[in-house]
Amino acid sequence: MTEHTDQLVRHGLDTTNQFAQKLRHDPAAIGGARDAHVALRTSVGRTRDVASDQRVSLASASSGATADRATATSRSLEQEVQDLLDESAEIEQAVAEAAETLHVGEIKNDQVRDQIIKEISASMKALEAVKTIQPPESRGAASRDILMKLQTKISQLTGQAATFSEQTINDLTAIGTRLGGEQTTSASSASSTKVGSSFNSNSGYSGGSDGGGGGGGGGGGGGGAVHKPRLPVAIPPQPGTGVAINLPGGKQVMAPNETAAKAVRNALSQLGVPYVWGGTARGVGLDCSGLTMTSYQDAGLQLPRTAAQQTVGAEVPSIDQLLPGDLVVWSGHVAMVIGDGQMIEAGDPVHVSKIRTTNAGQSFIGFYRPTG
Amino acid sequence: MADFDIDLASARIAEQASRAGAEVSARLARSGPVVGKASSGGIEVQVAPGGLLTGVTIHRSELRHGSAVLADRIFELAQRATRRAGDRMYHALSSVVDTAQLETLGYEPIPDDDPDAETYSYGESR
Repeated sequence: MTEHTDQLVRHGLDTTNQFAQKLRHDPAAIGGARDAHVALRTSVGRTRDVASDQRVSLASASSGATADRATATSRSLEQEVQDLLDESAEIEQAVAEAAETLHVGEIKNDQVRDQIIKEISASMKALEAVKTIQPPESRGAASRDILMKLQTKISQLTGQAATFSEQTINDLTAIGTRLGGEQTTSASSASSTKVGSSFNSNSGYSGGSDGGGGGGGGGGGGGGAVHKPRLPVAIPPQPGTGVAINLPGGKQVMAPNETAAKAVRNALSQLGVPYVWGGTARGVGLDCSGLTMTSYQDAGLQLPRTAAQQTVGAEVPSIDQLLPGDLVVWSGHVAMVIGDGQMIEAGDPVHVSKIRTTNAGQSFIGFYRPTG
Repeated sequence: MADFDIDLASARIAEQASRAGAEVSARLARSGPVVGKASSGGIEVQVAPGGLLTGVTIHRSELRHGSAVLADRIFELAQRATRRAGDRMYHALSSVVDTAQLETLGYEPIPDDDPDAETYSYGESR
């Protein structure tokens, strides 16, 4: 029996696993590349500002043909740096888009795989049940019906996975083509202006080498990033357990444990705090993942920093099993369930809303119980 | 991030299936094997879940209607008995096996107001 199941599972998941391999990428590396790119852009931007400041002070402090030549050289350098910055923004945008596309493709593939597993599991249960039918002669037909249905279902789902996979690869190709089609000029133009090394010597600061260092470090660092992890399924609350929380509406709900209850209370204490991108200052300014992270942090549980990384603990299989403290995670947003069908999220400002799974064009990753 | 573990998935499925099987056998051990029965006048038909004919009794008084009528009535009773067996299987398995799977097997509940619903007990509790 176990051996048959094993074969069935392997065979049934063959296609989705192949797609998973195709779509396999290192989210940390992509995140690192993107961050490094941002760092490079920032430092190049600073170089431009420094050059511009120096030109101004040079022009005001000196006169004569040499000074004029120097300011002219500086102006053209500034223009070229600006071109480089514009180009860089496009690449950065494309990297972000590609990462999102890959991520969505992966999630869809995972969803199909989950569906196939569910179908196989349901069929295996039914087959086991069929074994109990008396007399044994009537079991054959029943088993055949189940297996034929399963086969149809798996081929349907595999077809879906193939469509998603193809779509992802097409999208990636489109992004690549768009980027490659526009010929880059920055590399050659940047080197066309010759500037004496002394021009920038007093700034004591080199943008180029800074960026390079960032790129190398970024690729290796980080971890997790946007991904739907495979986690144990959260167990429902057992009789006699749970910690009560009073909601703003006066309703009392039960959190699965003290940590979750504290996290919910901590989050509720931030109602009305303004939204600040990247904000983790409680009472001052928070972003969505900042709200959930700091609320759990103060309850004694450390969550990863970004929304898509907060897929930790146990996965809650369905919306009707959500408990206070559970997280609703999208590719770029996160909210905390507070109970009574509601969740708290850092929009502008932090507010309570009805639990939902859609969020303006982002992909929904799942429900998670950090304390699970 | 953990990669997908096919061995774990397969083991989990096998485990869940065998647990479901054990639960169903325990349940059927209490209630006895599920059969579907239907009778009318002197004819009684018994089938296994799925419709396999396991017993037919015909009182001699039914023979006077002629062979065509008799064949029709046996056929009709066998269909009714099959639906009843499906209804019983549905109730026995619905907490363990997915409804979609039960449907594939033809195990569907019979509404109370359906003419095929069992109007009397066979001495088994449902």
